Amino acid sequence: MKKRGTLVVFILLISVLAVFANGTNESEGKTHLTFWTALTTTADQQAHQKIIEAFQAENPDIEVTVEYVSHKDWYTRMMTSVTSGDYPDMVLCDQSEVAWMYYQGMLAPMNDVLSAIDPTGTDFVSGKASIDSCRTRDGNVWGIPFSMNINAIWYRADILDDLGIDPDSIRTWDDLYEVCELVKGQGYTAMGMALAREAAYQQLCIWSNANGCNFFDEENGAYLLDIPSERKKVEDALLYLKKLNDNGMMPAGVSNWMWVDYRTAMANGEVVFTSSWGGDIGVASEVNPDMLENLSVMVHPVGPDGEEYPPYHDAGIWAWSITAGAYETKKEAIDKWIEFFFEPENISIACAARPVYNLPLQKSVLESDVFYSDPITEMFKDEIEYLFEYALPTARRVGFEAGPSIVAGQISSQLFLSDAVQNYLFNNWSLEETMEYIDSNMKDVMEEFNYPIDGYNE
Amino acid sequence: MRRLTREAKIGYLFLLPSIAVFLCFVLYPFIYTIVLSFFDYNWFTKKTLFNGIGNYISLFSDQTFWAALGRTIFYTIGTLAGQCILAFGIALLLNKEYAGIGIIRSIFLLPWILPTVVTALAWRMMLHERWGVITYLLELFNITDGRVAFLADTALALPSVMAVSIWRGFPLLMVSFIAALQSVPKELYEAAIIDGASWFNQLFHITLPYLRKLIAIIVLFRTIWVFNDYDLVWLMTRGGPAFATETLPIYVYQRSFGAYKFGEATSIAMVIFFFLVVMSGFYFKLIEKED
Amino acid sequence: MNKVLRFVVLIILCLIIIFPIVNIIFTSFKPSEEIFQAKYQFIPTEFTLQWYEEVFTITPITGNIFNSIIVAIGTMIINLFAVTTAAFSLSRFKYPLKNALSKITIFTYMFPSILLVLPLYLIIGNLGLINKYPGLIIAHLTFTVPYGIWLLKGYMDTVPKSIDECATIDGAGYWKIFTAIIIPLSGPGIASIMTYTLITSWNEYLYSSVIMSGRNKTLPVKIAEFIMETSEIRWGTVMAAACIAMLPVTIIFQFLQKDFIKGLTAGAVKE
Repeated sequence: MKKRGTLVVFILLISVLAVFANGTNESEGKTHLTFWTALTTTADQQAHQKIIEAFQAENPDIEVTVEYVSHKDWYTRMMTSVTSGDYPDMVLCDQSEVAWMYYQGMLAPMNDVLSAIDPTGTDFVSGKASIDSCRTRDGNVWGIPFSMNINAIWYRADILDDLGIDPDSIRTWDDLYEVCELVKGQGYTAMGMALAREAAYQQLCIWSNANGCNFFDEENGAYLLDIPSERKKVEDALLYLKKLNDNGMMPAGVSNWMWVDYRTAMANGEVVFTSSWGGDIGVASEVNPDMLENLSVMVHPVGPDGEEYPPYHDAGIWAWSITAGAYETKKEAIDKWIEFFFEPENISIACAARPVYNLPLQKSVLESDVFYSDPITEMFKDEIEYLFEYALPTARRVGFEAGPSIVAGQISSQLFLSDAVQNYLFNNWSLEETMEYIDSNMKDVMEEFNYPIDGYNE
Repeated sequence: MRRLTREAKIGYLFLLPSIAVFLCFVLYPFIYTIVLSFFDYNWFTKKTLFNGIGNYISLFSDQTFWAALGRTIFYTIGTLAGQCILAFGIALLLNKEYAGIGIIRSIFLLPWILPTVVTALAWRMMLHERWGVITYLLELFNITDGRVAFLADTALALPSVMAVSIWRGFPLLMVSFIAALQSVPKELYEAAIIDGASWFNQLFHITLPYLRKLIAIIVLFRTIWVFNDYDLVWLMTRGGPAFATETLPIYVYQRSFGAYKFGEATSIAMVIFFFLVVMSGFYFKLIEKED
Repeated sequence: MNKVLRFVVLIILCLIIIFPIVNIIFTSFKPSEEIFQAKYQFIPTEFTLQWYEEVFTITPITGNIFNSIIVAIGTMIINLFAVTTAAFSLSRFKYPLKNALSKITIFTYMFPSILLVLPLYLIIGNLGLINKYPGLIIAHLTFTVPYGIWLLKGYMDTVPKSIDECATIDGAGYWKIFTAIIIPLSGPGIASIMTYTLITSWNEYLYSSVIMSGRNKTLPVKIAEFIMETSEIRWGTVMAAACIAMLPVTIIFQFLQKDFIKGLTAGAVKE
């Protein structure tokens, strides 16, 4: 009986504590801004905190709070926030999420803020991995990217050097495969990439891109996989991935590898190549800084059906968007915050949180000293310049060729593409079966969301 | 109709709070499920179309569904068998009073008390192909050639999750079995002991036959839970790789919160419900016989 | 079987069974290099509090702990009220459909959450309770209430009816009998359902993961996010969070273990 009594007292105590702990410090007379972001790593969070503190010091009447919502939860969270009313004022998310919110009618156009940040209209680098993936056909901009991350082949320069291989000579998939065989012979695992259920779809898109196909038409967004020649490009990408896996070029557990896994593996010196957006650098700087000097990057080799070198690259952006309701009431404060965030120092802080992964898109930042004041960014200056020169011009993301696309977000948030890749690579699905699965699910999504399968033809 | 007595009225009144919970949050949602399973309903686009038995037709002609069902049955049988053997073995060992037994028993109960997320985490860590202790030991003692990526192998992923499920679920069966063992009348053993029957003979000729029905009830009850295990599988593998661990509950989750097709998902849920009805039918029958 | 041998086997089994838990605890004190080294290290060569520090400062989980406490205690209080009244009613009153109601209780307890989660999610959404404490408490009640009734009714049945008959003769009303006699005499039974509710609600994952998001996440959902979060997994932090998550349930369980086991076996073995 005594024990039970103790427990009751214990529980009551906790309840009382809990109630007191809940006493929020509501601040009077301040404009309160909230934003949600899917940039959730610890380094990102610390950078956001730093920028928020600086902003609040400058604007004591504005309070900014941030909530971290992972990609996985993003859409569900957004949907429910509509009904429960706890809506953010701004979001910092990738282009799929911007597109989705745009189609839900949640966003306000950002043309004014953009012209405040970039009055001449020339500061942002051009290309499909820049503002264009947030610009609709009517010319409105629904998101302003502060950074871009671009997928390329990261490699161990020291190992290639020892083997006497010039990275520039790796221009086709066959070249890459040969080198893989060579390094495998030396006892290394050749290629690391994320092929887990949440991630595998990206690799299919990346390698299809490197083979010249991107699922949707660049001009009008028409679905392309019904065209045999385009379909073959995707098939070849699948074949190549299977060839890499079946011949032991990838690690044993690759079907469970997330982004963190290949990054860590690269940092620990367990793989020679990664198909990566450069996050390896941030991980290496934390886990194994000695490895940094051995890492370098090259553009994707081109596939058998690809016509141009360098081929298409995959790139994601992190963009600021503003929700429509908030903009009506808090325009001034929101504009202040966005403009503050886009000042070169702050962009540099945000980018340095994940060096080389987060690359700024403003020429004014890229050319500034403050961006390169981060030692690791400075260390990879050559690589960054290389990426901008050779990979960025062809960078794009599946589904966004013709501007924001509702379907693209669904392709990345649903798992069917990944399931197709996994089943083909690890579960003996035939190529026809796999392509059929991809095709029927793509069409299903397009139908669910009333996407014009033949594209936007005026 | 008979008029209710005052006692009955007050009785119902006391029942009211829980009945309210039941009606609003179990029965109503359940009816909702049935209705929804006849609609083509997309939570995302809010498309709602009456579909008749269309969901069921496409479900039963869907290879993925049958594969998931097969996996679920395999998972259920394997997990239960493992849990029973482990639980019964330990129950036999614990079915004697001696010093420290209380502490030992509470240690055996720990796996069941842990949050599932902690369980999943602990085992994912131990099964990790680069720094997990299990893969390390297996390689160290040359049992496997190199380190095996248990959760990344399409053939090994489901058995691995089953092993974890056995670890997590056996304590509940264990305490039930201990209670059952203690219900066996001591007199039954006396004659056997005089005859000099061995321990195994006693076990197979007295204990097990006596407890047959009781064990059936306990196991039947567990079956329903194991069949519907969602969180452990999800947190260990998320149904991957390549569908290797995609059981029915995971499949329901994927179709609903992954693809937002709630109509389709509820029709799968109804299949699960059908299973529940069958199992509970057996259960109630056994219970009645027992009484 | 030999007594000593039996004891030795038990101890060995015990060590094997408990190993994963001990492993988590030790790992949460290991420095980063030791977590990730290929050669396994059981006891950290050097204890560090780095991960615990991180879990309270850099990626704080205090808010999530708070959410979990609120939900668990809220569920427990409402559950206690609904369960004691219902069990009292089923145990002491005579009325039509009683048998059917008892059966429905067990049947509801069998109801898997994966079956209820879809419609419940939509209904809670319609009530505007998604991502709010009451929403999750409602969801938790769907499985704690039937179990509690089932267990507590069995317990109250063992309280001799003659006691409340005496009280009735003394002029006590039903409410008086309920509060002054039945509840105090069912102490262990009530303690048992309280434990059950607290532990299951604290541990619950599926409902919490779909209903709660953002800063309202409960601790298990937060930990799951740590593991599922795909751009970085800070294993040390996760291990520390896991230790924190299992601490309260283990403590509560130690307090009430006896009643709890009694309740469990009563539930599993006989109706």
